[in-house]
Amino acid sequence: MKKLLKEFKRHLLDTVLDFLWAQWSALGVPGHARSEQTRIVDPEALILLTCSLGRNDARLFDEMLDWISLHERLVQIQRLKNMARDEEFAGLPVLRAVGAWMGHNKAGVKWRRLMELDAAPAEAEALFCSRDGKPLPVVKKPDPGFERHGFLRDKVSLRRHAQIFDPELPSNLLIRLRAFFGVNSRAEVMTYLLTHERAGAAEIAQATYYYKRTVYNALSEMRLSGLLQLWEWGTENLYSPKGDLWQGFKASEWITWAPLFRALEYIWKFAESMQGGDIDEQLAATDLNVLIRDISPLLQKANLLGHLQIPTPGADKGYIDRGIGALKGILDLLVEG
Amino acid sequence: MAKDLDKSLLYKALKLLDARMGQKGIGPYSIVVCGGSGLIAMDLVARTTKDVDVVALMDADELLGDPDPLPDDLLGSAREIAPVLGLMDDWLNNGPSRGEGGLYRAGLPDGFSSRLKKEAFGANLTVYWVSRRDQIHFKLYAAADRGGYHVSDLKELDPSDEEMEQAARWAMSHDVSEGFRQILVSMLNQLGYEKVAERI
Repeated sequence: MKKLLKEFKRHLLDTVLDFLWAQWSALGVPGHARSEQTRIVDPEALILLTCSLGRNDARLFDEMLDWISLHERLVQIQRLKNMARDEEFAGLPVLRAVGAWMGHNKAGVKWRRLMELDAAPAEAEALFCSRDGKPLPVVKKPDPGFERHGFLRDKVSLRRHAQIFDPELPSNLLIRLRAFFGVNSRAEVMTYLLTHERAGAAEIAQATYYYKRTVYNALSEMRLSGLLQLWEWGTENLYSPKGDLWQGFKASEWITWAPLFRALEYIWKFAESMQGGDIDEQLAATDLNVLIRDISPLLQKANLLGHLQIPTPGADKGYIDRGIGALKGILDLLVEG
Repeated sequence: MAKDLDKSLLYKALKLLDARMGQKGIGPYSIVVCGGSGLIAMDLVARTTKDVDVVALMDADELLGDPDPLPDDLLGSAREIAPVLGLMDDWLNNGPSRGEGGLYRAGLPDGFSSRLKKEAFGANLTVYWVSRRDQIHFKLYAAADRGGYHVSDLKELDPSDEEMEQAARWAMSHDVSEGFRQILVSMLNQLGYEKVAERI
């Protein structure tokens, strides 16, 4: 069982880091083969996952800083905060440090709002770990900005080689529309409508992490353009893009990444807790069952629960085998597409 | 469908609960257990049960405490291990002592705590099993109130006349109504305790 859990942890980390590289690469980060995936990248969700599991790859983390330095105007800070708080992402203290780091110059004033998030860790800790889980020491001087917020790392030195995102990639539809409409809810609303037959304000608000009222107002105004079709469905109004104008934008696929990413954080925490000394089979089975209970609503929220083959709980090794198999099924979602 | 607890599964569940509490840094807690699981643990009755009935909590100074409500973290840990062992979610509960009419608040028999049998399941969970004498008290009260398997348990406990009388007097202190006394008298007669029935 110990070997199974160790291998799973390695598989999980490799899969997630490959996935993060692929997504950042689609947004313009160099250093990874750019895939032709159609699943739309969500910059805010991506930043949040990189602030937790991304700590296992210092280069990836700094590529994120490089990218957000270049694209900082296209990042929706309020949405980032909503998402972080709603899903209780594990990387909040790191995000706060990133906010402080980005906010140290004039252009990054809006990033200082992230400092309203949770407090830093009580004792300073290494920001980065190696893939085998060992904290990476500071070799030269610690970065004072990160240190102030509880994280030890060498001074940030950006390579400044991130490129502006490629607007033609189907996976960049959201940020493309954000560049067009401005950093407000309309980019997410339109992206959602383009990837669904029709949808109402409540559904869109839940998937995009805006308030329902914000989405409702946006839809009402957007409809005045004559570019949206209205469908009355009981007491709810549903909308869809009208006519052929938007046909060229429909190759993309929407995934509500944030709850899936939060589920990955839970899975990672489980995998980490299963390392070390002797592992009691029954306790491991309990942890696994609690994990499946915790991630199920998140996967439901992401409309991905069908990908989790929930095994019948038991105290035997067979249950752990089946449970790990089910978790691997979730990781497969990151590889597809 | 949830599994029934026999002695082996009962001990497995309590040991796993202790380990889970240790893993999560919960406790230590001491619980006082009556009902079917208490009878099984003390080898007083050969049967299975669905749950573990907590009648009281015990503090570090060995003073009894109200188990309503049971600590959230204790209940949370019990619920977490339940699916793994195939038990009901609320396999650990305070059913007998719930609310104002519960056994703890209504009053436990005199000398109750001195008769408990202590058993540690690890560093985090200690169970105090209710003695045979006190189980007779609770079973008689429950049998007069609800009948059913409580009557079978009572028969299997095979109380002496003195034990039955003491239990009957305790039960009548909980329900002072004439109706309850009559039910008790009738039941004692049916169970072959005519002399006790006469005395109460």
